[in-house]
This record gives sequence, structure tokens and C-alpha cells, in this order.
Amino acid sequence: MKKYDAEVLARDLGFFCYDGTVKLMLQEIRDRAQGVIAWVIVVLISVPFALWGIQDYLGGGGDQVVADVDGSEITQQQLDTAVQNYRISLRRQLGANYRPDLINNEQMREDVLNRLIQQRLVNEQKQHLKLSVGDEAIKQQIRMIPAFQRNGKFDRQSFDQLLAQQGQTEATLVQSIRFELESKIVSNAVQATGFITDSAFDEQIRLRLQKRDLRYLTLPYSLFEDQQTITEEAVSDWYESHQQDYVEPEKVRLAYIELTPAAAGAAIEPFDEELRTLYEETKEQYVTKEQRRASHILLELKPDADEEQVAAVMQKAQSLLQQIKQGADFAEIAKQESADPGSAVQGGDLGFFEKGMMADEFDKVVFSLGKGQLSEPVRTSFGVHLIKLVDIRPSSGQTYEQALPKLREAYIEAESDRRFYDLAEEMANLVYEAQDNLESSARELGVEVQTSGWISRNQGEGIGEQAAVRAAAFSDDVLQQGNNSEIIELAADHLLAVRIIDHQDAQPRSLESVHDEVVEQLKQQAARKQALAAAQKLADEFAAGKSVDEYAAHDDYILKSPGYSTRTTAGIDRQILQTAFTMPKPKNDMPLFRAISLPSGDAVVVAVYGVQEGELSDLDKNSLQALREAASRTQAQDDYSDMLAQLKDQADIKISKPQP
Amino acid sequence: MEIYENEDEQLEALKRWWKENGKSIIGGLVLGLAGVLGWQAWQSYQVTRSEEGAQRFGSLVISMRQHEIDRASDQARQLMQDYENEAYGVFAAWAMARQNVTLGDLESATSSLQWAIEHSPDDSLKSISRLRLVRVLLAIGRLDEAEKIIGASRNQAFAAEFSMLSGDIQLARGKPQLARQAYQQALLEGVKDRNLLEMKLNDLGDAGLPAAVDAS
Repeated sequence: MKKYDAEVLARDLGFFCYDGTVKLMLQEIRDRAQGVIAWVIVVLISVPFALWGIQDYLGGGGDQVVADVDGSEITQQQLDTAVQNYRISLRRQLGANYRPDLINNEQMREDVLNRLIQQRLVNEQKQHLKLSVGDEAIKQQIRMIPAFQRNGKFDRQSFDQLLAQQGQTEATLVQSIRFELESKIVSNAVQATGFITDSAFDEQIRLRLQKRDLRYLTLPYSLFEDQQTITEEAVSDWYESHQQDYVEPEKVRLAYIELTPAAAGAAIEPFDEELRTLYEETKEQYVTKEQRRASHILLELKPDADEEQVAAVMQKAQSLLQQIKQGADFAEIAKQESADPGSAVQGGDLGFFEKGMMADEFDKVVFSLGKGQLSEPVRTSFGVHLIKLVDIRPSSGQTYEQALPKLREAYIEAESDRRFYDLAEEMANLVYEAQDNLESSARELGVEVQTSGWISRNQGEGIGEQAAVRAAAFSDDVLQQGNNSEIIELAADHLLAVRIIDHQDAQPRSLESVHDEVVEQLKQQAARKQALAAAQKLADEFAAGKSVDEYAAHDDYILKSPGYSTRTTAGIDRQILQTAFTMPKPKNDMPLFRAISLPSGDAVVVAVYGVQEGELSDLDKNSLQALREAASRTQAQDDYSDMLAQLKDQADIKISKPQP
Repeated sequence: MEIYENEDEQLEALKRWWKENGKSIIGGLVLGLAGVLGWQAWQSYQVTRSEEGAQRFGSLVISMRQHEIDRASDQARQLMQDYENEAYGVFAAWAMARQNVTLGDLESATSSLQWAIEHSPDDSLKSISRLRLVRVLLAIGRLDEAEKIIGASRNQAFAAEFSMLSGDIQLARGKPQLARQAYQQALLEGVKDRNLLEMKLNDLGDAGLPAAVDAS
């Protein structure tokens, strides 16, 4: 609320007019009446002023105004926020195709500002027309937002969650939806009531679905290309009169510092202790532990089995052990007797395993047996095992000394990464603080200052290949002010900062250096001209009665006869179609001819033999209906944008000079 | 400034002051309060009215979409009556005109749009009504009237659209030369549907075009 509201209120309440007078009056009352009642009055009077005043102080004090639309101000901050939001939505829409370096920032700012102005205009119109929407409509709108729905129904929980995530409250959401809905009332009304009359629609159909009977003869550019001779005089004449086209663009050479993990870690010389610690910590990468291969026969015995059962199973185990010792095949017996289904079929084989992978009691026995030895029965929670140690693979790998080169490498890599992220932060500060040189930053960071070759706005080698580098080099801050650039992030682990060490203004190129270019260009022009002249001559001859069919099997020229075609028939050059539909309509079956030149340099004679107007019957009912709706919608949309233009014309809009 | 000897005297003075000014203070308070409350009531009445208008217009649009002709007509007529000289009256008249056109009753459509022009609360709404009226008049061949409206509503923002309609009128009169002029004018003024305008222009054919066009 603005200040004058307080004044209006004061007037309405029958008091005085201005802040100053009100203060005087308060003073007078205070002086004259010091009793309780007087204080009550004073307090009562102060309350509204105290409350109404607050918003003035809270409101963006001192924020710059970039535009004023009939007294409604758009501030710098509002514009910045809108531009930022626009960027975010662009990035979201374009995804990987988002190329900030291709965006003309000034143009974008202007577009966004225009949009904000339009918003204000629409808002003003809506207020003037006293248009508002009810709470019920807003609730309905909220319930229809898919993000707030679960299984197609509005879900209070999702609603609350999403709002919290976006830092919004229900009140701010309602407000923005209200604003949006109210802003659309007029536009929706114009749309919903748009119409197109039958006669206007028939006319559109007649034009849009019109067909023309055409043929075209192409005279290829290549036929004329080699016939051209260009004199030296023509070259120098052309050069003199087109000097502005032969300019070496403005160029700069850059000093730059580059920070990558490799650069950050260049000076790392690990201590022996550090590498030893790393060796111990990552030993499994260098050393393989001893592994043993065993087979077993499992006899089932529950952990809570009573003595009798234990004795029975143990006895069985002993007897199997005896059989094996007497020469029976371990694998055979395992197949028949073992209660471990996984290994039984393998003859009890468990494969190689390291210490610590099996049950404790089992492990202990396996790693105490010699190769080929049999164990006594062993009891575990699974039951009773007979174990045969089949093979031992001794521990292998590299000792600390052997692993040293690898350890160094790993250490330096990890340490480089760590230092890179530390230095990255420091780099931004250093480069910003020492605006006028890179050397001091380079020293602090322990990197070298390097120099680039010549780089123009659009081209360069080395770091100049990067559009982001070129954009930074030619930014106002770097080019004009001579400062360091901001940190340029070529990749998450590749940072640059640049400054200009050499600058070359745009300068004319000498005739010698452009000679061949000019010759080539003049040749092209002449060839085009000759081709078009040849086509023109043919067109005239055709008009005078020469038969087009003569060229049906011509060696060099190409005749195409697509017949009746629409404005958008595929396979025919756009420009040929456009020409055919721009030409007058043939009368009395007399075809018409026109010669044109295509961007490729080919010349074409376009011939129109007849015209078929579009008719409603060309389309089925559904397409007709769709087309009619589209026509009426387009018209209504155009009407509405005219209306916006009118609002703009009638408003008093002041735009301050564009802010960077 | 008076100096008071004791509390009694103070109280006496205050009472005297209250006697002199009390009535006007209370009167002022009452008046002011009434004013504020009245203003608020008026505001809230306006809001309610507008919300109701939005709802009723919404339901009119739905009736129209569902081809409930009689119901839509009733709703439109009621809105025009209740919101005479307000936005929703104009919107309803537009809706009426649309329905008239759909039913082929172009004469009635002109009346609806005429009504919309006369009851526009706003210049920008009036421009749209005029544009639509011209389109209907053109369709039923009342060309002079259409031309008169175009002449009367020379508004920069709608100029191109009106110029294109002028061209259509000239063409209906059988004057392609004048039609071309009007279309070219529309092109200069920046018509929105450039594609359509160019088709119209090109369809005029030979009048005054060069024989060959060098596209380079």
C-alpha cells in the first residue's frame, strides 16, 4: 500500500491532511492533555499510521525502475528475476541443446521486458474492466494441476510437499493462479467467441487448396561456371567498391591460466610414509590372499540334537572316514552320502576360497590341513563334515616396493583431484582480486601463465576453439575494461581465466590477400547471371510457341513435369512452387513462363499450364471441420494480439535506458 | 500553552475540551467508518458480480460448444441485460454473434455486434467488435456499411487487419487494382496472417507485376 492511502484514510476519518499536520496535531494533544483519556486517544490514532507505514519501509527501497507502464513500475529486480526464470525455463525446454553462448542477452532482456510490460497492460485492462475470478474457480484450477494429483485425483499430501519444495505457500500459489486466470479472461473470451464466415472460409479454401499444373526446366549452374573469365580490372573495381566486405575482424591474443587436476597436482611429491599408508589401506588391490580348495561330505545334524543322535551321526562319519582311508573314492561317497546338495553333485567340491569365508570350525580345519589330507569329523551348525583338502593356492601379489609405481600414480591422482577442488575456489577469488594481471594468481596456484594465438569473435585455435572462451574474451569487462575474465568452466574439471595481452582492430584486407576470393565471387555472379539470361531467353521462346517437350531428353537441362501441385507439394523446390503460385493465371489455355534464379545458382524456367481452385469437396468432413476451427482460432488469436497492440499504443510507457 | 495547577483543573480542562470537540470527533469517526465500510461493501459487491459474470459466461461457452442453441441464446441475452455496458455484456454479445454466424443468420450477427460496439466499456473491446462486424457485413454484401466502419475505426493497432478487409471489399466490388493497393497497404502495416495475405495478393495475378523476378 502506498503512502497516500494513509492520507486518504486520515481524510476519510475526518482528521487532517498531511503527515506533517498529523504529527503537529499529535504533539498538540500530547502537550495539552496529559491525562489517561488523552493517551488513549493518542494511541488509537497512532495505530493505523503505524500499521500503514510499515509497507513503505518494507517495499523495495531504492530499487531502480526500468519501465513505467501507466504508473505501474517494473523494477530492475523484477526484470532480473524474470530473465533468470526465463533462462531456467529455456534450459529445461532445450535440455542438451541449451547453448547460453548463442543467446543474445540484450535481445533476451528486451523480450522479457516487453513481456512484463504486456503483463502490466493486461493487468491494467483487467482492473479497468473489473474482471476477477472466484475462489471456487481457483480451487478447481489447482485440483486440475497434474503435479498435485495422485492416480488422477487431487492429493493433499503431494500438494503440500510440492509447495514446500518450491518454497511457496498456499497463499502465494493462489495469488499467482488468480493473477494468471484473471489475465486470461479477455483472451479466452475473444478466443471462445471467434468465428469465420462461410464466405471468408470458402475463400481461404479456394486459396489454400489451389492447385497449379506446372512443369519446370532447370539449367544447372555447373554448365555456366567454367565459362567465365574475370579481368584484373573487374577484380580491382569490385574490391574498391566493396571494401567494407573485405575486413580482417577484430582480434585479440590472450594470456590465460588453466586449472585441471593434472596442473593442480604437478608438484606433488609423495612421502614414503604416505605411500606405505596407502599400500596398507588398499592392500587388496596389490595382494591376493592364500586360497584353498576343499571337498566335504556333510552329514546332517541339528545344533540342538541330543546325545544319542550325535553319537549316531559321529559313528556314521567315522565309518565313512574308514572307508575312504581304505581306498574308497571321496567324491563317490560325497555324491551318495553328502547332505549338501550344492556340492554333493560335484563330488563334494567347494572350489577355492579365502580364509574367513566358511563357518569358523570348518575354516580352522581347512587351513590347518596339508594338501591331500583328510580331516577327522568336524561339527558345525550345519552338521558333521568330513573334509579333504584338495589344493592350495599360495598368497600372491606385489610387495610394497613392487607396487610403488602404481601407488605413486594412485596417490598423485587422488591428491590432484583433492587439490584441484581446493584450488578451484581459490582461483575464483585470486583472479577476481588481482583484476589487472594473471601472474600473481598463477604463482599462488602454482601454474604457468600461457598465451594463445590470435582469436576473433567467431574463430580461433587452441583455447580459441571454445565459444565460451571467445565470449569471455570479447566481453565488455575483458575487452574494454582490460580486466581478468571470470572463471570459464570448460568442464567440471577444466577451468580457465583469461585476459587480453594484445589487441588488433578490424582492418581492411589487402587486394592481394583477397584476390582469389574476389575472382571466385565474380565468377559465380557472372555464371548466375548468364544462367538466368539463358533461362529468360528460353521462357520468351516458350511463350512465343516453342515446344517445351524438346527439352524432355536434353543432355544438360532437366525437365520435370509434376502436373497439378499444391503450394506445399513435396519434392519440388519451395521457390519454384512459390513462383508458380505468384504467377498470373493462364487464360485461354495459354501457358505462362517465368525464369528465376535459385540460391544454388541454377536457373529455372517455371511454366504454369492451368489453375484448379480449391473446393470444399476436396476435403472430407472432419478435415474441413478441423481446418475451419484452425482458421477461426488463428483469426481470433490475431485479433487478440492486435488488441494488445492497441493497449500498448494507448498506454503511457516509459522505458529507462537498458540495464546490463 | 496553559499550565494547570492540579489534577482537578486538568480534568476540568479536558472535559471542557471534550465538550467543545467531542461531537465533531465522534461524528468524524462515524462518518469515516461508514465511508470505509461502504467502500469495502461496494468493492466486494463488484468482485462478487464479476465472479458471477465469469461463471455465467463460462457456462454460456459450454452451452455453445454443446450446441444447445436455445439455452446459449437465453444465457447470452440474460448476460447482455445484466451486464449492459460491462465486459461480460460484450462477451455475451460476441458469443451471440458467433452462434448467429454458425446458424447462418448473419443479419442477427450484425445486430449482436452493433450492440457490442454500443455497449463497450473499453476501446480495445470496441475494436474487436468492429472488426467482427466488418467481417459479417462483408459476408452479406453490405459493403458500404462495412467500409464506413473501417473508415471510422482507423486505429493503428488494427490498421493492417482493416486494410486487408478493405482489399476484400474492393475485390467483392470487382476492383482488383484497388484490392491490390489495400493488400499492399496491409502488408506494409504488418498484418498478422501474412501467409494468407500473400496468397490473396498473389492470386490477383498480372496487374502491374514485373515479367521476371531475379530471386538472388
